[in-house]
This record gives sequence, structure tokens and C-alpha cells, in this order.
Amino acid sequence: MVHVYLETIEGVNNVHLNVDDSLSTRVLVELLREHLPDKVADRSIIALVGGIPVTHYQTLRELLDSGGNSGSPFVALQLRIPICKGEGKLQGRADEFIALIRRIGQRIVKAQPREFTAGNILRRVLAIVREEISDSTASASANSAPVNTAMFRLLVAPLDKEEEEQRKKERSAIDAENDGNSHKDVLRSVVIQGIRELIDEIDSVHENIAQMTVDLIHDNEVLLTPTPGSETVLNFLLKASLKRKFTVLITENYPNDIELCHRFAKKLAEAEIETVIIPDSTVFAVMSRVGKVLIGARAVFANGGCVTAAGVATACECAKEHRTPVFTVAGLYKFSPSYPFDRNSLIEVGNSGKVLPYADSDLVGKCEVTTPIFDYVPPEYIDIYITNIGGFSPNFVYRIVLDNYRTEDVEFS
Amino acid sequence: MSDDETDDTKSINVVAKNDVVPSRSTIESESTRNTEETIQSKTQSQSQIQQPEKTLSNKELKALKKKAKAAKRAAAKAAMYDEGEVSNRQGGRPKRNTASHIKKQLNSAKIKDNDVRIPPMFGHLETREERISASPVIASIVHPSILALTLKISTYKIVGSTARCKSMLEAFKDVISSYSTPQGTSLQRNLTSHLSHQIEYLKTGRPLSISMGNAIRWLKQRISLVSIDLNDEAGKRMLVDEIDEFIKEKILYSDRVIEEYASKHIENNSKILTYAHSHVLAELFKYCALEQDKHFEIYIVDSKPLFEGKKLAKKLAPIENIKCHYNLINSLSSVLEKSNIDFCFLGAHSMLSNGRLYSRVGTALVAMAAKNKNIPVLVCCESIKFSDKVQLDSVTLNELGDSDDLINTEPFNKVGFNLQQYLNKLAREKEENGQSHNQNNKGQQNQKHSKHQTIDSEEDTVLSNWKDLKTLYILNILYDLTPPEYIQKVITELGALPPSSVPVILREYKGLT
Repeated sequence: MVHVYLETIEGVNNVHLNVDDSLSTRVLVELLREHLPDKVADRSIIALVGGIPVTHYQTLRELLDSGGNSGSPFVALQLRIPICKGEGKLQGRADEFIALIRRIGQRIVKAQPREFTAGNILRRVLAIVREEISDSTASASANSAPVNTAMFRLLVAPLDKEEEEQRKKERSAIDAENDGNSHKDVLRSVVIQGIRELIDEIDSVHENIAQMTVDLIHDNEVLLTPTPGSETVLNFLLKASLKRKFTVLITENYPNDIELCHRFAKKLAEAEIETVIIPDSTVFAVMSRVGKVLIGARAVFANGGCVTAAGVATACECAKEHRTPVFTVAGLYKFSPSYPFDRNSLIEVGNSGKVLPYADSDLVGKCEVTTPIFDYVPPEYIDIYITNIGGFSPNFVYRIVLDNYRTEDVEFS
Repeated sequence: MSDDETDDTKSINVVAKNDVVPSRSTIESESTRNTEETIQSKTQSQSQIQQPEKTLSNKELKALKKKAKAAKRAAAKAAMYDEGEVSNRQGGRPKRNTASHIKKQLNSAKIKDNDVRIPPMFGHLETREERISASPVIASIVHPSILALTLKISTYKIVGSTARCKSMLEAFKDVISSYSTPQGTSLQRNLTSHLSHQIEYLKTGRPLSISMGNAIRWLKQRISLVSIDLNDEAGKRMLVDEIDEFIKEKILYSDRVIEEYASKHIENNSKILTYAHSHVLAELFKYCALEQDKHFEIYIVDSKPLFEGKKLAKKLAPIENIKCHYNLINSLSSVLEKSNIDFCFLGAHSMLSNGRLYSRVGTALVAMAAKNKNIPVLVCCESIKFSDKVQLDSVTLNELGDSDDLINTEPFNKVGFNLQQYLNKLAREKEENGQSHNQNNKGQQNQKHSKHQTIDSEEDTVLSNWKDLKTLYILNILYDLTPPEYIQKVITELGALPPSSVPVILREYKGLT
């Protein structure tokens, strides 16, 4: 028997469930969903603590899946728990915060190296902590130079020097904090506040992105989306349908996202948007009639490339051949500070039974089958990124990344 | 059978007889009830009320003559023939089957399928919203081989330009051998129109492929060139022989020549990318592996809904020299990224006169991706598939498939149109019969549907009623157009050439096709 402790974003619900150990995570999540009050959105299911190893590959994966493609709220909350609860153990010192978060980061990256959003959120939290430290040091020591924006400093100063300086500052901050208890509390509350803001930001990503729809879609336009799994794209289109009349072509993404595609199409059709489902192979045939290609991303890299559903790279390549603009909608939390040096390491491989079922038993075992689930789209295939903080060209992404993360946090280990 | 026919035709020559129905076999296959039905439809339009008397006597005369002439013929056969006579006599069957009349009959048997919903922009495409039901009227006009072929083609049992063309020609052989020229016209004139009706019906299965069109054009030309001095039998035999020759020359030997040309590109340890299934490519790979003993790898890219690549994989997987990889089209970028492909071989449905390749939908994507990776794209295409059409995009010229084929995620298994009609009719009748049968009927009706649903009931329920959503469309087109820029060369039996030289072939070899 496993005891499940549950905390929601509202922080109110402590649901206690006694469930069997052998229960699959999916069933468990379903169960939890049932026990949640209605107002709690699916995506804000949150934290499973106690007995279930959160960093366990399967569990994390399943949990992330259960929250659509945005696993981040979950991670953020997961973080809030150790911080909120740390009162006994933690002294509230900055280096402890940082070490703790980095440790969580390491575990998460190790558990699922291709899940970038979780790491991104942790990096954002780290940036908040570090920002707070540099602020407090700045106020503590009057003679130190005023703190510039992270982006500017990182651009100007050489890295190792910067890091050294940073470490010094951290140390002095710690010293300063050790002086009085009030500092600790301030730091903790500021960080918790920061995380809360982060959660709010993630929650309002769809709304913020959707605000830009009017500028991007004209009347009677034909749009094509090769990522029917993306919630962001769905919200974007639904919001756009209030102001514009357009046609959406959706690729099936067979076999990975076929069910998602059908669900996606159904939702669009119910919103009375003219929706056409096309097989993946038909992309080239219809591309000459498409006005814009709209894709969702799993992760965006500093070079402007992104990882998304399998098959999208070919669709974007096709769009480029036809000079059709491609725009990617993605929340800021999907922007990752790393570079996609090794394309193949980014791509997860799925169940090949979906491609060659046992009905084709004469082929099973004789043919080599690979089913990548993701695809890497290079920056040259993408025209703009639409995020909750505005639209950017792919070659500007590195600046956004520098704005939000600290270089010392790019690697957790 | 053919013996009978000779007798028959001779007797026609001797006795000044009224019109005869084009093919006796079709009459024989009909039941008495059927003939009666046909009569009802026919008698209204034609003033042939006096005809029966005439024909009757003629028929009798003929039968008598026949019996006298061919006394040694088996008694059973004669009896059978008599039976046919009797049924004819009873019905007083009108015999005139003019071209326009047959056309009218075909048209009257057409069924409009209002259930089809075509996506915007594609409304102009030829659909099979008009299909011909298998009524007895049709059975008297259309040859059984054509009926069978149409069914096979419409359910994608026979798929692929080459296979369809070949089986069509085989069916035409049957049609020609069981054809007899009616009185008052000549083979040269009448056979062409007789064939036209067969083709008309064949079109209701799927639109004709370019190769089929070319073959038909050739055949019609051949028919018109049959010497007037030849009697029916000799003319028919000549045509059948010529069709055989045509199949050999244009398909079998052409494929062989293409294989020899193309095999030079496949070396030991080559990595070949191909899309879906092409008859000539399958033969090429087999030829290289088995006859030339080359070891190589093949990456088969495939896509919904036909999964033709599986057919190719099934042909190649058992061959030891070939290492098969099977991928769906959404993993194309990964395949190209990870494996060093040497050549991309593509099959063709047709080569258009402006150098574009018209082939199974998805081909253009593969060609584009390969070209961008600097992999040479080679197209293997028999010259019979060359077309003088010019097209610029895949939207204006295409063939629409059935939208429901994309919703059923289970292995592709289509029910023929007539079977569907019959099942629907059965279901409707049972429903009318009352509620007591309702349970039964549902079982029957649902059997077909539940087959789809039970397997993956969860995912299919999402869109199983997609037609209720007014703004939802499902686009299933069968072909796309690959621009000539992506194609390195086209390998034909006349040699390898760049796509821009397609019109040259058309011009130089026009007489041959």
C-alpha cells in the first residue's frame, strides 16, 4: 500500500489515497484526477510524494504525459514543497537553496534527459535565487557596483571571471545572511514568491500567446499544423477563431499522435473552424495552398532550433521549399539554454509495434523499424517564434535565453 | 465455348438474322428473373414490340441449324443453350443494344452517394460519388471479368499503375474472346463501342490510370486496324495475341530493361531509400539481390492509408542479401539524418510532359528531403506511363480516396461498393420488417462497424461519427506531383534521361504507345 500525498496549486487540497503498490501510474493519475475538486485544472496536478519515486523514469514520464506537453507546473510545485517544508532542515541559506535545486535538477535530467522544460524551470528558479542574492549583496555592501541585468553582464564579462565574482558575492551574501535571521526569511519568501510568479506565468502562457493571434492570421487563411499534440497550438487556434475565419489543415502524425490529432480536430470542428485532417504524406501536395505553417514545440534551443513531434522537420522543410512562413508557438518555459549539438541524442524512440503490428507477423523481426517520437527542426526552417513575451526571430532566441537563465546553471552537474 | 461461338457467327452470316446480344456468356449467366427485370426497363423506350416474333423465329432457326450442323456437340451443352433460348422466348427479350441505349442503361444504374464530403479546394476532383450498382441490367452489358476487376481495383486489392494496367488488359482479352459481332456491323466498329461500355464500368471502381489510358488508346487503334477481310474469330485471335505482345513488350520486357539499367546504381553495401511500392522497383531489388548477388540495405518509407510499403517489405524481407528497414513517413528526417543513403529510387504512376512525376502521395516529400540531402533521386518508369498532360500542382489533378479510410486505424480492409450497398439494403429491409428482427439486424449491420471499433474502440470513438461535425473534413488524395528539380534522372526502357526529356520520348515514340 502506498500513501499518496497530493498538493495542488491552490495549496489547499491534501488528498489522501490508499492505493495498491502495483497500480500503474496512469491509473493512479486518473484516480487523483477524480479526487480533485472540479476547479483544479488537469494540468495543475502536481505532486506525488511519498512512496512513489518522482524521479523514477516511468513515473516522471507518465506524470509529464498526463499534463499534456507542459510538465513544468508539476516540477515547479515539486520544488515548492521542499522549499516550503525545508524550514526544519534548511537554514534558509542561499547556497543551500542553490545546491538543493541543482540536486533536483541533476536527478530530473538524469531521469529524463530529453525532457527540457523541467530543467528550464529549475534554471529559472535558480536565476531567481541568484538574482535575489546579488540584489541583497548590492544593498548590503554600498560600494559594490549596481547590479546590471543578467543578460548584459553575461555578454560583457568573460565567463570564468564572472563566475568567480558570482561565487564571491554568494559567499558574502551567505555571510550577510548568517548575521541575522530576518535575511533568511526574506530570501525564502522572495524565492517562494518568485516560484509562485513562475507558476502564474506558466498558467497564463496560452492567454498571452493567444493575444497575438490577430496580428498573425488574416481572414480566410489556410493554416497547416503538423503538431496536433500541442495544446498551445490548439488554444492559439481556438482563440484566433473568435476574430478570424480560417481553415486549418492538420496532419495525422501517424502513429504517434493519431488519437491526439482526432481529438484536436474534433475540438476545432466543434468551434466551427473549417478543419481538414490530412495524412502526413499529403503535406507536399497541399503546401502550395497553405498560407502559414503553425507548429508547437517541446523545447526550443538557444540556436533557434526546436524539438517537436516526429515528421515536423519534413513538413517545415517542405514549407521552406514553398516559401511558406513557419511560425512556432511556445511558452517561454520551453526555451532551453543548451545547444542541440547532437541531434540524435535529443530524439526519443518509441514503440515500433505501432508501425509494424503483430498482424504483419511475416515482417516482424525481419525488418528493422525505428519510430522516433520527436524531430529536430533546424532554425533555418522557422521564421518566427511566438512566445508569451512576444514574437522573435530564431536568431534572437539566444538573447531571450540569456535574459532568463544564468550561464552557470546551464549544466546542473 | 469458342467452338460454339464459331458456329454461332457462321450461322449469323448464313441466316439474315436480327441483332444478337453482344456476348452470349452474359446472357447465360443471367437468371430468368433478371431478364424479366431488364425487359421492364427496356420496353418503355423502344418500339420493339413486334421484334420478339422475329427474333424468336430467327432464334429457333438458328438453334435448329446449329443442331443440324453440330450434331456431335455434347447433349448437355445443347440443353443448356436451349434453356437460354427458352428464357429468352418467355421474356420476349428485345435485342437491340445500341450504344446510346446501353449508355442510358449504365446511367440509370448509377447511384449518387450523397454521403461524400469533399474538403474545400478539392471539390473539383473526380470522386466516386456516382457508382454503378450491380443490377442485372449491368450484368448483361458488362463482362464478368470486368465486374471482378472493378471490384478488385475499387477495394485496392489490385493497386499500382502497372498491376492495374496488366490486369485490365487480361480482362480485355476475356472480353474480346467472348465477344461476337452483332449482325449488321463490323468488328472494327462494334468492338470499340463494346469495350467503351466495359471501360465506362471500370471507371466506376477508380479513375483510370495513365497507363491504362495509354493501353486503351493503343487497343482501340489496333481494333480499328483489324483487316476487314478477317472473319470475327481470326480478328479476335489476332487482337488477343497482340494484347499478349503488348503486355510482354510494354510491361514485362520494359521492366527487365529498366532493371538492367538501374541495377548499375546498386552496389554492394549500398543504402537505398524508396517510398511505398512500385512493381518495377520490387523487381529491380530482387534482380540485384538474387541474380547479381549484391548485398545492400533498403529503407522503405511508407504511409497511411494504403501501406503499400509493407507489400514491398514482404517481398524483400525473405531475401537474405537485402537488409530491410521499414519506416513511416514521419520518421523520414531521422532516416536521412542517421543513415548514409546512397540513392533514392522512386516508382511512378505517370511522368507528365512538363517533367513532373505524378506518383503516390508522399513521393514528393521523399524526393524533396532526399534532394536537400544531396541524395540522387532516380525514377523508374516504363514509357507506357508517360503522359502528354501538363500539370503544376497536386491540387488540380488528383484522385480522391475514401475519407473513412483514414479514420479506420485497423489494417486496411475495404468492403466493395456493391457489397456495402447490399448490406445497407439488407439492413434497411430488416429494419422495415419490424422490431422483432431488429436485434438480429443490428448484429449484422454492426458486424462490419464493430470490426473497426472493437479492436481499438478507445481511439476510434473520437471521430467515428466525424460526419456529424459540419466543419470537419478528411482529405485523402492518392497522388502528388514531384517537381523536376528534385529528380536526377528518369530510367525508362528507352534509356535514362532527365525529367525535361519526357516530351522527347512522347514525341519520338508516339507511334509505339
